[in-house]
Amino acid sequence: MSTSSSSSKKIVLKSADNETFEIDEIVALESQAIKNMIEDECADNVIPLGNIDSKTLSKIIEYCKKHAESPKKDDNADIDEKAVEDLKSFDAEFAKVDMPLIQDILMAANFLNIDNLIGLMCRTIADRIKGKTPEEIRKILNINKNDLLSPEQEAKAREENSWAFD
Amino acid sequence: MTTPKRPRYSTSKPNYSTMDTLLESFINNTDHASIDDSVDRIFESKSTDSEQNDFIQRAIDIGSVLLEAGNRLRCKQASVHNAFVWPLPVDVTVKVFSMIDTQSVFNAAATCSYFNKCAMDPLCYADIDLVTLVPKVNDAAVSTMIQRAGNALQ
Repeated sequence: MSTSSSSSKKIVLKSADNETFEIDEIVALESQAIKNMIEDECADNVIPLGNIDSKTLSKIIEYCKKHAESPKKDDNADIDEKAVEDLKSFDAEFAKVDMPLIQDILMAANFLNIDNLIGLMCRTIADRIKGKTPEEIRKILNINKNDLLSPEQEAKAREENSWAFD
Repeated sequence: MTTPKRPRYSTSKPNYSTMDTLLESFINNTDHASIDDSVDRIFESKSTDSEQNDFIQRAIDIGSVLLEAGNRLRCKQASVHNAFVWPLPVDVTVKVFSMIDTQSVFNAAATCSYFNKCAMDPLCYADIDLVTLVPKVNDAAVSTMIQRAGNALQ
């Protein structure tokens, strides 16, 4: 098992639009999917990610780098508070992007199986739709009018949950 | 005792495949002008007023049946995957819903058919928050939630 011993090893990720990103293996290991690929030794030097564009991929690498550099909770019981705070504010700053990019990142994180990032993006969407009306939620999430419930279905949904409205 | 005679038309099963073929070729006909002409011809061939009225009524009826079927199918398809506007699969969407309070889940459920389906997932109701809810909550509403939550209720 040569994985964790060679931390200086490089991994190259290739986005859908054929841009390549060279990153440290330790950064790539933030992704459970890539970790599995490497462990099963079915990863070549270049890992093609045909469903992730370069804009999304660079955001994800930015996130993985930061989290790979930060001390892990279970590594050390008394990691300094500052590092935790630092990571928190990084996450908050990281999530300040528009909804389409959040969705792209979440899709990619789901594909790459990066647990923390999935959680962060879900939390971000949840915070944005919390306490909003259906009409506001449609606006926030760019829900198309064509995919609305039929009038009967919407009436039924409202009736079932009538106490929740107004 | 004799069993009553069955009406003739129900003794054999309706021939589904004939019906399907007929409808499919009808719907695939994109030459709407020819449908118009054909309808006119059939109408003219009816000799009496009542026959003509019947024909008009049937044409309207079948039109609305098709319209309804089309709308129903579009809704059904949208609830399978709202792919153009919301790319996230069900499990991720449910994860988002599990993070918001119960009232917000209901608001999201009224947003679109795909969310409506996702909002039926037990995990969305794992943490039913009745404290912050409006006093309109009645037993029926609570039982709906508990039912949906099922085993995921904590």
